[in-house]
Amino acid sequence: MIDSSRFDPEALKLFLEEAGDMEDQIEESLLLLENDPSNQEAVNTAFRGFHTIKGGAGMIGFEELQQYTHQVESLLSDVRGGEKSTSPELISALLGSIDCLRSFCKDLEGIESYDQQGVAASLEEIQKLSGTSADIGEPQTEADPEPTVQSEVSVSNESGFSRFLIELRFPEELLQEGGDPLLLLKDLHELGECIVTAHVHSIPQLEILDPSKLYLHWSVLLNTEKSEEDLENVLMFFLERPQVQKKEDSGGSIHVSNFKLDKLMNLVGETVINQARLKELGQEFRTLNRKLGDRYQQIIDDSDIVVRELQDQVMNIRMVPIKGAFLPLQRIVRDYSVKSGKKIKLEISGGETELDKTVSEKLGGPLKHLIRNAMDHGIELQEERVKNGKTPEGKIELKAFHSEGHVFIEVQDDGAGIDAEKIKDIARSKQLLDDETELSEEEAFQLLFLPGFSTSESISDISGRGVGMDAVRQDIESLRGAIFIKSELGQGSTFQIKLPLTLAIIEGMLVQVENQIFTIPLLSVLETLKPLGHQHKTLQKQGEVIELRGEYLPKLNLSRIFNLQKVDPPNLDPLVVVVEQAGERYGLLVDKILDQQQVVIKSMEENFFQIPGIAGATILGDGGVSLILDLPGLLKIALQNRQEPLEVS
Amino acid sequence: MTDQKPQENADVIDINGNEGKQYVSFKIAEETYILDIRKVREFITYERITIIPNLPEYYKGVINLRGSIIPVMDLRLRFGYEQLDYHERTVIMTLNIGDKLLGLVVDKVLDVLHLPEDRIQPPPETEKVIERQFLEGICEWQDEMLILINLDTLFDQDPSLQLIEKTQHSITPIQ
Repeated sequence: MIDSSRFDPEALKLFLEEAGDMEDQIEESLLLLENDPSNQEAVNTAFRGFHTIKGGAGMIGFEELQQYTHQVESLLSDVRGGEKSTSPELISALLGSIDCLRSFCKDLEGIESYDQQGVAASLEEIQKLSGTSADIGEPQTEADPEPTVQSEVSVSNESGFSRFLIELRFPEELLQEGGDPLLLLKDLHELGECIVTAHVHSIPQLEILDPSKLYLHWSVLLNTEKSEEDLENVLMFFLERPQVQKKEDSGGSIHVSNFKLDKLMNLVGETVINQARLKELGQEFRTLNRKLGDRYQQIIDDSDIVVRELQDQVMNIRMVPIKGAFLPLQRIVRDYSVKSGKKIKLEISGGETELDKTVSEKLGGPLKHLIRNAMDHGIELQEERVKNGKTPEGKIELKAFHSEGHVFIEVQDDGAGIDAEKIKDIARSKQLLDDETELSEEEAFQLLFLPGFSTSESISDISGRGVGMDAVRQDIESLRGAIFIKSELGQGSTFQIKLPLTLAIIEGMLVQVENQIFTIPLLSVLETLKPLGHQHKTLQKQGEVIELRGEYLPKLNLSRIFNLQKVDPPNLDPLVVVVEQAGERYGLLVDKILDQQQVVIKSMEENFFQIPGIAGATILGDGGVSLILDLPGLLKIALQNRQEPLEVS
Repeated sequence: MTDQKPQENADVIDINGNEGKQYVSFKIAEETYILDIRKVREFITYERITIIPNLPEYYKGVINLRGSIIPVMDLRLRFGYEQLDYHERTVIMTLNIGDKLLGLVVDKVLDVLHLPEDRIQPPPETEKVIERQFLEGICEWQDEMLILINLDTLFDQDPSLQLIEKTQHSITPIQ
């Protein structure tokens, strides 16, 4: 592991944030470049990206990375200047170096040691592509349109040592922008013997001195064995600052920590709740004094508009284009194509579709899995495709779109499709299904989501370790989403993911059970009904089901599952909320259905623990708390109780 | 600790003399308990508690404290006394425990005391088994025995752990 404690933690954080952005940008542009080798803009973006990372590495003082990126940058500079042309090997090598960068960053974050062999191999590859000596070009200085360090370098050779006279002048605002000239001086000191003179004559009188401004400049006489290029490497970041700065300005965006956003979100949630409370109070005012009540109501109505707008805007901040989650997939498909010999094209549409940042971040894993499955199990071998009259090149479409207040994401391949019969056979051989049960095609597809199910006949390193789809489903469900499969044999399969726009607010159905109010996520609710007596059926006296249009649904008695205190007199005429969970339907018994509204989700873990069957809590209009049901957890408790029916009190 | 020891009968040191620590004292049945005042965030009057299913009885449920959901524990029940009915004068003490907030229902909050730390002794052995992990020490003060509570142990065990373990069986699909 790299000892990251030697770096300034603030600077490191900034660097990692920036590097993460850059890595994605570079990767995207390289993939563009591969499709269109003449795309000069893509080369420029990649070059700028590496350059920025190099500068950042210099700033925090991470030399290894700085030198590494320098090599890559030199190569790209040749491409940029037209001395080298883009070839698949070049793109592969550059993509490989992105992996190395990520590996370095992971190490800096303290996650895992970086892949030393990988970096060495990549470096070798890069050097090979650059031609034997990587040090011929000196592109750095040319890339600086506005150097802020005025460095004058004079050289005189004496027995391998060079002497440089460097004059360091920085803009006055350097300190405010987070720069630290001391870092640079230290770096110079490491190059060799330094004689530093600080020029203090521009320091103003104490009364008008602004301590956040930099008034000093320095002259450094450096006696070193190192080359001029090494020296420039050290100076690089400071030379480059204005360029970076300018870019951010034109983009007009800032990095905000998730923590701050969450806090803001919470405060807005509070305001929404208080607003509801004020409204309730308004009703009481009106009964006491009509005129005053009306005036009060007017104010409440006005502020209602503002609060809603505020909520929308804050929610909006959290929304990011889904593109971020899609990008790494392009790379995966490309690498797979190269490795496996199956030619596969990934078509992406709707990358601009926005959804909650947290959701987008957590989607990466499941999407990767689905794509790998599609490539591995879906798309057939080239010969097979041709034999079946398909194009030799397989196609995977990745689509995102908004509909019905949800985000939909589809992974659609034009491969072999899923054979329901085969799935049933495998499920039977793994004892996940008994011989008698008849399943529709749709139900058979659901078997794919069972733990331990894997249809791959050969286990490959791409997918098919048997932990596949159930993990995908769990991930999606943890985001309060659902996943559906459509497939036609010989034509291909579609995996559709349905997700809420945000994790912070859900559409909920408020129900009363005994004297408690619970919230059921509306996403899971199919219908509600008031069953007639004959619809309640039992199996062997205690197995309770409810009959719904000829089907029998398991009946879940919330009062019993949660051991709630019974109200007196008991409600003999409960309502049923039909919910769907993992493709199965259940009937939840409730006493009353109160309302349907947007609720702000509060975490239970913040001050307590995760409670089985409870996804979180929300605050009602009267300030009380309602627990939000977690259906998977609820089912677990229900089935647990079923196993020991006698012990339930 | 300074060299100047408090005088023999100076049980309570003035707020300006930094001797000793401050404690909040409160009643549970006939016993007087104290806890470190720095752990106390505020006192709130009783409000409607939403029960959390399937937890030990001493967890009364959760309340809304200005937008945060905090659990409420009844110390009477935690210590094995009978439940008292709650009314509008029932006080909930909210406490900082680690980075979490806990509401604690006690019979009656009494006072804020300054006590020199060396007055607090370890709890003695008793013939009958008591849950000693909850007790940090006892202290004699104005003819009364004060019992210092160890807050960390009150709350350190996840009450639902057992439940989660019990329910971690895979679901077989219902046909």
